[in-house]
Amino acid sequence: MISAHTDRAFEGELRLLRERLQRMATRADEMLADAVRALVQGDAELARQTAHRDRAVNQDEVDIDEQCLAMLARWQPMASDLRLIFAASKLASNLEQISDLAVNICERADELATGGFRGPYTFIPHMSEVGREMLRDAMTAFLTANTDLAQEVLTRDDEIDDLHHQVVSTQTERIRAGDIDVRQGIAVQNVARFLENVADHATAIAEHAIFMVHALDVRHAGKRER
Amino acid sequence: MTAPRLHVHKLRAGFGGKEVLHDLELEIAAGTVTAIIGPSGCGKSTFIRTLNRMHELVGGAWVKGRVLLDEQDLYASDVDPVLLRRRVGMVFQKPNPFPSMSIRDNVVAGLRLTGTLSRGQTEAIAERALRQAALWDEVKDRLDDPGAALSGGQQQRLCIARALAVDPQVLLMDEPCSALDPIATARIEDLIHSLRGRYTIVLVTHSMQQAARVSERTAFLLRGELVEVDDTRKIFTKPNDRRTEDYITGRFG
Repeated sequence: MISAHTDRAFEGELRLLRERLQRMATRADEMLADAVRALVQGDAELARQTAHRDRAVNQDEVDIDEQCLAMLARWQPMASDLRLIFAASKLASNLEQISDLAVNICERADELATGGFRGPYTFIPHMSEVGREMLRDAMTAFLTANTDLAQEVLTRDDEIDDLHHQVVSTQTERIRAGDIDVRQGIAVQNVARFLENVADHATAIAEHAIFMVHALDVRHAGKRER
Repeated sequence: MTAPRLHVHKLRAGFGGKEVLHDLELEIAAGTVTAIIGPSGCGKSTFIRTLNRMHELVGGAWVKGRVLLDEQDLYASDVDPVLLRRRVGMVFQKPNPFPSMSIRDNVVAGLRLTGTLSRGQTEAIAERALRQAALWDEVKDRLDDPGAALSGGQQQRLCIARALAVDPQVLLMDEPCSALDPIATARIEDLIHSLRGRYTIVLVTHSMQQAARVSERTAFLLRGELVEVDDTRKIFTKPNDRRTEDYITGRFG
């Protein structure tokens, strides 16, 4: 449990920072959901509209970094406050990259829909669900300082890796069998890679949560030591 | 392992019936800078005043336990407190040069109390101390001006020069920058960095940032108890004790 700061203006800034991170994460999460929906439904228009929402997430990153810098300069925070602000800036970068990955998925969705490809997108919707759940849990872990939840997120990375491999082998098989065009098969494999990268960013956010609470850098510890 | 320059063992101190410091245990290595932090009234100033026996100058003050300087008990009956204060110098919150005394005489005032010096020796010692205190270039052409003619920051460096002139082993600094502007503060902090290694410095400060900038070790005192002492980097990024965390992040009620 994090107790309140004596300086209420600083406490207010910390609250604003958490709200901004949550808002940015929600935007990135919704972009991902719509990008995968546009892909699966073959909706090129939805794909283009979703890609445009990247600008708002970019602006969120700029605003959060600006706020972090101002807080460091004005309050010169220490210990857990310092770690929170340091990690918040990195977390915003992870969220911005997740929205970039959503844009990449939108571009593939547009290309595939326009090319008349209608799937099937075996494993892709499930991958998206797992990745988004990891993202939401990692954000909750960070915003509520819940390291147990952060640890759970770290363990789910393998699940996404397995799904990625299954998409790659399924699509390769379809290309080999002549069921789908090579370029289309590779585009679907790319989408799986983008979703795997989303999970990597969710994992990084969970690692930021552990760092913020315990000052423990688990980024390169390997799965056993985490 | 080398013995610490200062070893505080089971130190208790107070005034009359009131105990201000409770069983402090602390070792301070030679040539290091140690910051003492803690809320007002926690006993920081009392603590550093026990390190050169200035605490006992106040009526009703008492000390129990031991303070060893290079393994010698400062409170042993054969220790002369006046001579001890040459080995353990002190700089106070408010610069306190002798106002009508010249800059040069201010610097060598401590030496004159304990011996006679030739004019040449006086000049040489004054120059060395003023150089060490990073004040020489600013005052070398007006050494006969009164100390009070200097700015607040210069006066504080003059006081540091006065403390250094007697060639102490330990320098105690009780909130030395609290009356100074940021530039004068930066000069003092730069000076502390340059004195590190040659002198053992114990610094009381209310500025967490200052403690973080200049010290290698930080001790947190709370209601006369030493809550935590550790490497400064650790104290300000991940303290062990929740009370330290609450204090340095401003969550103390």
